[in-house]
Amino acid sequence: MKIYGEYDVVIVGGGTSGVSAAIAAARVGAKTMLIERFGALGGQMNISGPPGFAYALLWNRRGEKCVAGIIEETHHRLEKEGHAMPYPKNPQETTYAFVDPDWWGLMIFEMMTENHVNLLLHSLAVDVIKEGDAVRGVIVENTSGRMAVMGKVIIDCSGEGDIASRAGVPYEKIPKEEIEIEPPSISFTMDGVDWDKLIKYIREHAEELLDAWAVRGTLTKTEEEVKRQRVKLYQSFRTIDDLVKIGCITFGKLTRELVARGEYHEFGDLGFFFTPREGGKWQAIFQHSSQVRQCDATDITELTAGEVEARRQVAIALKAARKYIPGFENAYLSRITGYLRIRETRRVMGDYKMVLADVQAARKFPDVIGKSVQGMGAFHTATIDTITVIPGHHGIGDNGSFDLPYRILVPQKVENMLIAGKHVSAERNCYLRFLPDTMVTGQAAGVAAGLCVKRGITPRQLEKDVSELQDILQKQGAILFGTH
Amino acid sequence: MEIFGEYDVVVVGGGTSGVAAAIASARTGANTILIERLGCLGGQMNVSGPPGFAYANMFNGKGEQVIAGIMEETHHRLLKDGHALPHLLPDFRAGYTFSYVDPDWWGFLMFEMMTENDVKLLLHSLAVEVIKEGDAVKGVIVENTSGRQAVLGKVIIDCTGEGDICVRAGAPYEKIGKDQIQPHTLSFTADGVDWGIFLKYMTENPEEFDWQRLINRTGWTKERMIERVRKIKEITELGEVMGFFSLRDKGLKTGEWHGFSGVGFFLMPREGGIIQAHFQHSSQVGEVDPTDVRELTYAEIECRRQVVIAWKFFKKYVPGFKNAYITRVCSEVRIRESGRVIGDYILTTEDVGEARKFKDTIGKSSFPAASHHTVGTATLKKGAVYPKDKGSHDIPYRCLVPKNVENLLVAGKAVSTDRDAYLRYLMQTMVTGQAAGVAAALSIKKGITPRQLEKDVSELQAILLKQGAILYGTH
Repeated sequence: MKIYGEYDVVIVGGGTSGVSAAIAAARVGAKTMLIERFGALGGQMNISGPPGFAYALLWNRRGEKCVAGIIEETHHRLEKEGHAMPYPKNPQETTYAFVDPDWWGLMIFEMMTENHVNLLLHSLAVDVIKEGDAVRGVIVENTSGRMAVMGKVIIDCSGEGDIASRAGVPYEKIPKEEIEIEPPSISFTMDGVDWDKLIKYIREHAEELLDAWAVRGTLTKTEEEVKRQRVKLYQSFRTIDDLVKIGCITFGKLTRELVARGEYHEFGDLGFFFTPREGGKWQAIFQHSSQVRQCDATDITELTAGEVEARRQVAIALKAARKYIPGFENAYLSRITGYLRIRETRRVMGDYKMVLADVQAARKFPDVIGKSVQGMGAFHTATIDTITVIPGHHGIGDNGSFDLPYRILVPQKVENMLIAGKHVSAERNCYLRFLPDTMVTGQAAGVAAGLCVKRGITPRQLEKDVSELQDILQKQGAILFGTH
Repeated sequence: MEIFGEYDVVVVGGGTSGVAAAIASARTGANTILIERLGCLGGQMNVSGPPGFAYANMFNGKGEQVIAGIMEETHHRLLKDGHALPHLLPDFRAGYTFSYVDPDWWGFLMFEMMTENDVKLLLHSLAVEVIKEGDAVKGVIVENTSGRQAVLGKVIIDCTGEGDICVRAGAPYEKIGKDQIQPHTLSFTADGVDWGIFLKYMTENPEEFDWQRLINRTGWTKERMIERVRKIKEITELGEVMGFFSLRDKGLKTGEWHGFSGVGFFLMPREGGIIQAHFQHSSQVGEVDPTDVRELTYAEIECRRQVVIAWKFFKKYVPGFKNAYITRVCSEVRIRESGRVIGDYILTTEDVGEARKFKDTIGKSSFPAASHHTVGTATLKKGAVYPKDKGSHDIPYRCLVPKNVENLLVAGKAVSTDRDAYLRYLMQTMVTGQAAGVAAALSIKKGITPRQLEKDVSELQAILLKQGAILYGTH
């Protein structure tokens, strides 16, 4: 077979974990190749998103910054050019730091050039090349035919664990007949909203909008906390002057009424987040108003059906938004994502498997490579409520953060491979699928891969002493220590 | 190997030719599957576009409608729902008309039409190989998240745009050298333009703009055209905006304009009468063979670099763009030129110039031949060959039938033409797509090959006419 090239580090998948891994590996001095099946880089951030919590939850509830590194670097670059809202002044209250997804996509290409990352776009990775337990490369298909890309370390950033599973690594997938898969969504963006009108409506209907937030209210542990949160929200709705501070607005009552009248579908509520555009413009991005029930995205028939169904729902949602959301009377579709954002598929099993207890204990690990402040306990479901909460599961101990250990990136049974992105080794109850997590694990995998090549050891051997890995990550701006 | 399924007609490529082929085939009664490598349908219309001449040139210079069928049907449906502008046919636009549609609502409509017509879909699936028995194609092999599978069909239609399937099946093929290949482009769209400020600048400075294409079509003098465009009141009378000569030259001097194309944009209609500015030649990367993945990757990188430069220039210099903002960037380059499959007839530049009619016509076009993009501020090469008498030429069925291989049809920009008669424009791809879809289904119904259908195309033409296509009666 034709060999396209030989590299130190080969990253498969140019989504949010893949681009971080590529930048990080290149910065450690590795000759790095990033393979992506589409013509664009960014995955869930721009092609199929952004998700609501894209640039959010970088702080814990105490207001300590817990997530930085490449994610912070990208935010600050965009902010400087007027393509992002600044970091919140009081991150205890709100943690949204929205960025413009299209400029993010343009910037990521710039960063690839700056860091001398080699790219192979429009190329679908279809197989792995193995010698015994050791992965030696991947096989891709593209317009030029079938070819091999060889690497000393391969990082699976496919999001679905496609490469790891084809290499024979064990993985977990939830049993569909017992649990609902988190549904995939197509996102769309509306412009031309009369924001003043919507603000007026929110001030005058604080009570009604509160109901829609009840779901989020129950995420906190005690009844008293729920009550306190509702009072606080009520006050903020009554006096609201800056919508973006809330981050997300949902119209639960309206959604129920419309579903009852047959004017809206029942698979996710009518609600949106914000997209900043240069010059201080804001657009509404709907990222859970289409949700496909029980769609296994690793089954091509279901994935195809999901694309069809999501668009059917989006067209309904667009019409309902224009007709019924106050301030949206003259709003119009301005951007739609090209394919589904896949919320849940495989989790690949590594040398450590994160469990919910780690989150609840705000556990710290000696081989920390980054942190997360995801409270867990809530899953998307394709229902009118959008979210289902598992009682007692939400919350991080001490209102802090938990560490992500290096071992969750090292897949079992194969050598020379790392995983980053939403399929890292974790139980379902602490699924690390959120965008900040994927950029954190991506960056760490990139540095680890580069370092292994430099030292002539395998990613598994690196587990014995992660001090240099941690030093480099800190030099690259990552936060590893010193938070609750 | 796992067999995904067996169908009458397998259409490979869900771009503008592929969706038209799938709909037409299903309507002719064939069990039809459409395979697409991405998660959405539409190709150059919405994923990598739209091109400037997306829904354009549906009328010839005499004002006769020459393109209809599925294209007219989709325009009509979108217009009814407020997602399109009416056919723009003012006096000064003879033969250079626009019929703008909202590309994102067009995308929804395509999915709706697939459901309505019971077209089966296989998305996120890259066709990598063909299955042949002797000279006959029996199916294609795809790779996707579920692995490697065969999709079998009685007739395969190659709507990849690049002729990927025909080439892999062994059909002969022509490709222009890299020194001449048309540049590829990454499109983006901006909102928040102050059209009042822009129109004032344009009507007060018409000599700053390029009206040559209108002049070529109408035969008016430059003076007459300039007087006429001064009277333009609505941005939608325009369609294409190209020029800004003084601003461009200033930008070239300061390095703020990249010089790979001229300065200009097209329009994008949005619901409720909103007009956005759509840029589809503000990045142009030449000397790239899109069937070489290394070069294709380079084009993606280079286009984005140019887009950033172009946008900064617009914001800084172009009247009306001070508060504008990018609202949409295409996720991949639009490939302007690739290979052409050699079929049983090769449409020539002379056929276009002579507005030639063919007995086996399956559709028409009034677009000039040799209208090629080139890297540089001129954007387009000189030497376009217009159909004579402001008319149109026929597209013969034989252009869709590749040589050497049976059970295979080709539609879209890879159909059989000489280089200058290249039928790459969107309306042409929908015309050849629709015809290939009907021909495939009809061949199966009659138990013959697409090549055998060449002997008698009367039923093919009758069905196309019933489906709304225009085959006869125009200049």
